[in-house]
Amino acid sequence: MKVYNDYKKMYAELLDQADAVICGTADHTHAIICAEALAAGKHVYCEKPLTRTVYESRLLTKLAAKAGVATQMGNQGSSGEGVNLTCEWIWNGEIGEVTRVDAFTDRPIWPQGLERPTEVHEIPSTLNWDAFIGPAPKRPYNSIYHPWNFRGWWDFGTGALGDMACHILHPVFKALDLGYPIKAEGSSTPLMSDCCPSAQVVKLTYPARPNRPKVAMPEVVVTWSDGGIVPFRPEGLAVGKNLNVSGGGAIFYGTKDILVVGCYGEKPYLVSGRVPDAPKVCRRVTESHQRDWIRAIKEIRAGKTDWTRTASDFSEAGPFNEMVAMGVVATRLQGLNQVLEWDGENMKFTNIPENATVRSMLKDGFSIHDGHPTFNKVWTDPVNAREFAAELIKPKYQNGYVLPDMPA
Amino acid sequence: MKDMSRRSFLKAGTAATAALAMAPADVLGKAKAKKNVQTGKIKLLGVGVGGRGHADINGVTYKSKAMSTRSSSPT
Repeated sequence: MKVYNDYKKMYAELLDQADAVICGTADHTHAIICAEALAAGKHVYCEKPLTRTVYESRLLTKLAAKAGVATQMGNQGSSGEGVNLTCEWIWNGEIGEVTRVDAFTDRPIWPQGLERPTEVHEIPSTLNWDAFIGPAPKRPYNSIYHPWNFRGWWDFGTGALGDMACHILHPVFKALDLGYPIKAEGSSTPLMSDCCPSAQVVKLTYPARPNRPKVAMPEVVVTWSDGGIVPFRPEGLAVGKNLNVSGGGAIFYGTKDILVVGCYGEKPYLVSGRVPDAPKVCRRVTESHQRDWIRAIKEIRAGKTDWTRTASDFSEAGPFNEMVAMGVVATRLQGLNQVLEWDGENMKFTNIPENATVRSMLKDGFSIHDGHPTFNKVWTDPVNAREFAAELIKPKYQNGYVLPDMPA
Repeated sequence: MKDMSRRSFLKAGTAATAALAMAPADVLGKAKAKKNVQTGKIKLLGVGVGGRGHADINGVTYKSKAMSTRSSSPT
């Protein structure tokens, strides 16, 4: 086996001979690594979140469709029974029409809400820091970024959303046939310029979708919270019942009942106590999430034209990941003090005023002198909000990295 | 670039990119020899194989579902 410390070198030497790529890098390099593999017609398995931004998700969705290959995002719970049951219960009309979902996680599990470090650390001998930075703006190495903590920094990660929302919101996205949101709003603990907040709340509104045979799909508001903020309890839930199952959960408010599920849709139950018996219309995955991707590859290689897609094929994981990435954008634009209106097809906010500006905090600067508090927050200069939003949606790649073009 | 055994690679850990040629047992020799049908090993490149990527490679090679979806500490 050959080992490299730069994917570009490995791709240059081996991509054309390879059949498939597994990507488990930091969030910000998923897009380029997967896009190049898809453009070369390779099967791709990519860890969650699929990408850091909305545009990159759209790109992978379209490249995968064009390539006709087997793809899978690493939200392994999508291959589990919980997501299947959540979908089957809702599609069978067990809780009626869903107009509100509250979802949450108890994470992040890495430090967030930090100021950018000023100290520069020696780069570990085993780390190719330039390759890690990839298309992001260059910065000196500090061990707070890597290993492990990179997902708490805007340039490299997506915070608790990109981590747990990929598990916890997946049954929400799938069961409710969600597409692009039309409105987004975010709120958080102090919004730092460089690091994701310690806790945040995001509200996304989805328009009505086509009805299912047994249930209508009206406009629905999905609220996400993290960093320890747990949604308010649904009426009728037993005292002492913890909503947190395996790191979080989701509460579906229907016109007939309330459905509560854990992370990955695990351990679903109705607040009424009734136990639904809905037809099992979803495919059960009997092997591991990763092995199911291998199954799809084998079906394609065997010449099967009606091959079965994986549980988190990019045709679904791409649009779903846009939901996750939109949460990040809503939080970072909270200073606009408005409900953002989103044109999903064209990937643009339609109501940001032309001359609006946003800023974020560089330093908190709070200190106590002689027993008295001193407030000395340091902010970035205000920047044009439309331009800032455009960069959040589609980042400008640096250091010579160029994404393949968006297929028509 | 250097050659490594799988064992020493897995020990090396941090921030590596790996090329693996894998042959899950049921991939070999089962596809029928039709025209335009590929058979044999699936040649796999792993990018970022220190933590989750490493677990995913294990997930590809082992059939137990428990290993990947029933972790008490989801990642």
